[in-house]
Amino acid sequence: MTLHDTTRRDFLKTSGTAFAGAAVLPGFLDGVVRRAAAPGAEAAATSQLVSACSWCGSACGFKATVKDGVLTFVEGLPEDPQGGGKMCAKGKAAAGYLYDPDRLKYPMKRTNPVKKIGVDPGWVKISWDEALDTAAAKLKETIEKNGRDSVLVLGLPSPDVWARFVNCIGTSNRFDHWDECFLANRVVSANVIGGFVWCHDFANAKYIVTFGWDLVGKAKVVWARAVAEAKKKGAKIVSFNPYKAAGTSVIADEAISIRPGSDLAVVNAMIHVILAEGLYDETFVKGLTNFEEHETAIRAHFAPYTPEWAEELSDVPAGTIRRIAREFATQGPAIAPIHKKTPSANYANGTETSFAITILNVLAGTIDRPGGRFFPRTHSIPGIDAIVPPPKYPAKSGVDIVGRHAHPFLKAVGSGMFSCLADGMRKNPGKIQMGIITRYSTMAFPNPPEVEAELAKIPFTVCTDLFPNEIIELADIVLPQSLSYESSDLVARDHHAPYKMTIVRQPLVPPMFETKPLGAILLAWGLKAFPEYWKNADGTPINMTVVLNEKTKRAGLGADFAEMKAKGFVADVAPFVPRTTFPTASGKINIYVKAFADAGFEPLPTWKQKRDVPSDAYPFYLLTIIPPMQIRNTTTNNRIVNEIKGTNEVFINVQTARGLGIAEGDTVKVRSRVGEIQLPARLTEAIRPDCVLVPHGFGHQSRLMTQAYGKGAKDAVLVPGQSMDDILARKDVGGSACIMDAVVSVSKV
Amino acid sequence: MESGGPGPRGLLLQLAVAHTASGGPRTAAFLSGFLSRFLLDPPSPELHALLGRRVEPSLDHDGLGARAEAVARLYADADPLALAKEWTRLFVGPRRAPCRPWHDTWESDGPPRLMGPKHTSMESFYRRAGLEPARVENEPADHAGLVLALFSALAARAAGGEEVGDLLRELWEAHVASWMPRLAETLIAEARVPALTAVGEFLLEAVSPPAGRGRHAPPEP
Repeated sequence: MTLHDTTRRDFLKTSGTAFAGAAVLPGFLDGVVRRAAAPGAEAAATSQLVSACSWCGSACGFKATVKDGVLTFVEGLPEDPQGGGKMCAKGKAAAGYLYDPDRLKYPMKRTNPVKKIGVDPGWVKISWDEALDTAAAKLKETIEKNGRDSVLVLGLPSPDVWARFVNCIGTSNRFDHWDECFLANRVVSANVIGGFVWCHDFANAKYIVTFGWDLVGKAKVVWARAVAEAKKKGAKIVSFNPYKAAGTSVIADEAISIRPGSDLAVVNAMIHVILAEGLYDETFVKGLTNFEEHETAIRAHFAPYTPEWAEELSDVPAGTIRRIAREFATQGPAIAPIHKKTPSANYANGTETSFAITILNVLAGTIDRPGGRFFPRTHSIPGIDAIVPPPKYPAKSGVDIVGRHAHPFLKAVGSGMFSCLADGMRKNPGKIQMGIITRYSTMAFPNPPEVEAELAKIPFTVCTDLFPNEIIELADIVLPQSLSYESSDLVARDHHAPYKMTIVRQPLVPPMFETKPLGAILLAWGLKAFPEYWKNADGTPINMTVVLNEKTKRAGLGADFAEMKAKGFVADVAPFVPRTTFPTASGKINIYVKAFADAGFEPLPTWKQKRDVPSDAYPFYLLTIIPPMQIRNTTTNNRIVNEIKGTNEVFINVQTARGLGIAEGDTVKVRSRVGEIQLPARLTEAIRPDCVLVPHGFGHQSRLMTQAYGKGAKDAVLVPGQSMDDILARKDVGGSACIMDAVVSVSKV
Repeated sequence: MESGGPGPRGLLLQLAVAHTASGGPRTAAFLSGFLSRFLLDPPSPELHALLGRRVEPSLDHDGLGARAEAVARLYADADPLALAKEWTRLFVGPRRAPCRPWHDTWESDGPPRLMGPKHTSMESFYRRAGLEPARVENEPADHAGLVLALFSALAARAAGGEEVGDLLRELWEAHVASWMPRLAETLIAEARVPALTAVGEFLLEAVSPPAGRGRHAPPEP
């Protein structure tokens, strides 16, 4: 290009508009600097805004202090019964996410065709128009040439606007991490009590038994503080966990160091005792369940599961099992919570364990009763499809690459199956021609290297995310997403909802850089790719502000979102009225699940061994936990939580370590049948001698995350993936990912 | 490089507050505005057109205008893709950008952060000037490009006879001389395309304290 011959006027413009009365201004400043809206004004006053945390389902309410447009402090909202004025470390570290210089800031495109983690993609900053034009054109072209199922979507089924976008694509190849999380529990709960629920009324329980779920150490405030409150009120807490330093075990009245993968044996034995001794809540069980209809089969099923039988498998003395079963049944209200990525729920027998624990709660008569698991009472907030009905979505084939369609219950849920993705992609080479990935790292998968190898083969990938995790390095287009602190939403309480409660999520500061809220990204992308689905009936584009106002109004939360922002929190306090029918086909709870039997699965929780058991080659059980200051692998780059815990280590029993010649701090190699990692040893008496424990969330290999990169090691490298054939072969009705099933060897480096 | 030989350092402030009789403020406004756009915008034909505008001879103090033109020419003649890629690598990341353009990220004792005291300070400078950033991107105010943009706007006012010398000196001390030489030196060291090396050298020349005269004491003309 040649230099322009222009006059002084071209680059020194008289600015009569923005700088009235001022002197000449270089044209360089057009669009860069303008006269302030309120010239001479002082800095904006400090303000406090109510909002809801987004880092876990607890969604604790908080008050944010914003000074001169900068978020400076967050503190719990005392009037919010869910958080109760408390916040965990990751929630309090809000500014660390918002002001992380590593966060994704601008749309970018790849210029290096070589796709591999660790290879520079050659990013170039581009405009939103270019990014979305490219992404939309590629999406339409891919669907046209290769069909809807050639698009792989890695993202949750929600929020509503995301679901609308995925429905427009019409692919059956949408997957998420649910199988590593609560999928088994979801399948079980849907078929036993009629629906999956998060609510556990710990605070009113008198007897709490946990199987691996570290309610306290996991630092989900809603549950941690409820358990603490129960303890204050005199409830007995029993924690079965091979790791005695787990927070719940620490505060428990009894901490029982159970053999990994044997929780099912103990729970079935407790059911055996309760049935045999007639200790169950007869009114509840006979009146509200199908127990009487299947009593003979149920009693026969549990008869062999004696405490003595369970002792052999679990190392828990039969007398202890018997006593705890009796106490559980008679000292209630009693509750045995079931969660997700816990040592009990994510073995190959995790579905059966969830099933058995659910039955334990049913026998205690505390489903939807004070002190038990209960269905949430929530405001009904309509989704975008109810407000702006879409044209008919394209029909989905129902056939996906991992084979979910071959499993009736997993097909019905339509989620999960990260544990099978690498296998599915290997078995369908060239099937996936485009990837759309939102807010997932490859660290979310078992055996990340094999997943990364498959994802790198996808010809074109669009990622929308907050931070530059591993998967971003495989993207062709990166769309930077705003954080929840920069976005608007209505959050209906569902983790502790004895009455209807909704909290506002509002922008504390404007979206930084060129980030956009997910809704705005999908609307803009949708208008380019599937315009008919992103317009109102009159042909104008959907306005997300109008949608949010309508949601607020229809949910009865206020006239519009502005009113909800002013209120901050809406609670329709009402007495808790226990259910007398349940949302199953019969209206009764199914202890015996005929639907499982009809589909060829076990109708009652049946003992099976965990997938991998210790051997000469791999003599130790591998345990993983998520430290309380982290959410999986997504928060590790936060400089504040990173300062609290920025790396991981391998916990080894002191006696075991001595036998292996390992001293505190030695670098050790941990090896499984699929991978190996090296970490410093941390010796402890708190772990069983046959176990080692590696905290999850560390070992990021994305150089894009400067605080997290290279610190620690990934436990997932040790965890084998699986296939749908494996799940069907073991008749796993809930499709557990088996992420706790690995066994390992340990040696000093 | 074609940007001419090395000139006296720290010219921006000298021109803006000291060389008033010879049109120094207008030249300072031109140069700081010119540099701000290099730092704010990825390479594009529109930016090339803007940067390539000829400098009026009266603004060409010590050959600076000619060197600015030479830098712009280098920029315009560079391979567009290589330039865009390198600009993104240097200033944006998301790999660790060697030339993070936010003052706060250079000053933190611990891990770098955004929207800290340097941002707050720059917000205050903008307020005092009755101005505000007008970028589509919601950048922290301590972005080097926004610092130089404010300097440019103030220098333009000085050229129009407004008395803004104190504000210019304060801005220089707080956000230009105290940091930008490091940014420029890093840019020179890290840039892998000549056009961006030239920008770094030109920036260094413009923002460094006058040699041998103390960082914040520009000479009288």
